[in-house]
This record gives sequence, C-alpha cells and structure tokens, in this order.
Amino acid sequence: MLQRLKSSNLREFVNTSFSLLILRVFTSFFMLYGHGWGKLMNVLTGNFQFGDPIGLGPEISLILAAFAEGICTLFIIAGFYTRAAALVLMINMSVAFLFVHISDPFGRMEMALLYLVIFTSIFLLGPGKHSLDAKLK
Amino acid sequence: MLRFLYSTRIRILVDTGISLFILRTFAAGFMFFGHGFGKVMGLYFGHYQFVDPIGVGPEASFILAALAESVFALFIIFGFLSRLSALVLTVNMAVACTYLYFNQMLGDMEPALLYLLLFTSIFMLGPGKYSVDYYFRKNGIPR
Repeated sequence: MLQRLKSSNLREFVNTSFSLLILRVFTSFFMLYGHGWGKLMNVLTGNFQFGDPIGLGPEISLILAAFAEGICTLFIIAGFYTRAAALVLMINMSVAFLFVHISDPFGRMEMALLYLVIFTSIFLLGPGKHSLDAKLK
Repeated sequence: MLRFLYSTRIRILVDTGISLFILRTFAAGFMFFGHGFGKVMGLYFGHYQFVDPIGVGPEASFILAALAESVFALFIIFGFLSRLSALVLTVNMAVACTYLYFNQMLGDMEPALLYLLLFTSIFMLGPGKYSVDYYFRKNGIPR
C-alpha cells in the first residue's frame, strides 16, 4: 500500500480521464454556482453595476465576465472545446488577480489564484475521454 | 492549427509532468504560504486558539492542522510521498469543509472546497515526472 502511495505513475489509483472529469466538472460547477450564475442574471435583468478593471467600461466588463464565468463553465462541464473555454477563464481569472485583487491581502486574493491554477491545469491537461470533445471526434 | 483547442490528448501542449508540476507546486505553495506558515508560527509562539471540529480538543486539532498544512504541503511541493501527503491534506480539507458547512459560512467555504478538489486531483493524478518520488524510483534509491 505504501509502495502505491509513493508511486509517480499517472494511473496508479484511478483512470486519468476520470480524474480530469472530476477536476473539470466540480471546478466549473463551483464557478458557475458561486460567480457565473449571478453575473448572467445581472446581464439578463440589465443590472450593469460592475468594476472597470481594464478600462473597457463596466458594461463590457460585466458581459465578458458573465460570458466567461457563465457560458464557458458550461462548455467545460460538457467538455466541449474545453481547452478554448479554459483559456478564456484563465484570462478572466488573470484579470481578476492582476487588476482587481493585486493590492489585497492574500486571503482575498487566494480564490482567484486557486481558480487560475485549476483552469491552467485544465487547459494544459485537456478534458480526458469522458467529454463531448472525445465523443464528437 | 487550432486543433489543440478541442483535442482530448493529454500531452498535446506540454508534457504531463510539467502540468502536474505546476498544479502541485502552486496548490501546495498557496496552502503553505496562506495557511501553513501562520499555523506553524502560531504553534511556535504558543497561540493555541483554534476550533475543535472533530472532538480531540483545540490543541490537538491545531497541531494536526499545522502539521498537515505545513509539512505535508512542503512534501507536495517537492514531490516527496506526494500521494500520501495529498491524502492527508484531503482529509484535512474535508474536515474543514464539513466544519464550515455546519457553521453556515458558505462564502468561507469556497476556498476550502477548491483546496479539497485540488488535493484530491493531486492524489489521483500523482506527482508526475519532475518530483523526488520519480527521481528516487528511477535511480533505485530505497525509501
């Protein structure tokens, strides 16, 4: 047992595609449930109160953030154009980290950084076999 | 040319070892920097003010949390016994999530859930090629 815990093999305990499925679905669900859904509803009801981090105006910033956190997370959950959607979310979280939370203490920066790390991993590792990308190939 | 945007191959952009190295180092690094270091300093200076989620007393809880979030996070950064360390940190974060859930602090729960997810993924995917585990196994160094 300890030998298996010391292993550096990718498929020691579970299949890689299954690990990637868990990482992808749970992260995107948290993102959608905690951030994206409220932003999408704000866009749909016309409540454009948002920050203006990169000088595009609050409306375009909110629409871009709602697209990334509401639509692209659905793409990642389904596994459809996963790497493209993860790239969009990486840019989104980089902006959140570099322009919004850069002068905050670490406790408030932490969540943006964790999401950035997870979406970078999804971008680099891909969706795995249990995804629409694999089914539609 | 943009086929990698919908490819499902795991090595199409970079080697898997590099991806896992990034995942491992950053997750455990944030854990150590944001939580583990403060807890070790608290332990060193004797501030035992902590919660008691599993009924072993606040001191024992604090020592266990400090151990998991500093020593095992450093193990994960170097890739030494990565799967075991990730398992310890998964248990730690599962306890934190349960405790926060029962206290109805859902805003505070999201980083704990993300850490839980990250360490579960590290446990399942392993340390990859750029780790002490792989180096030891390749060179036949007994542990």
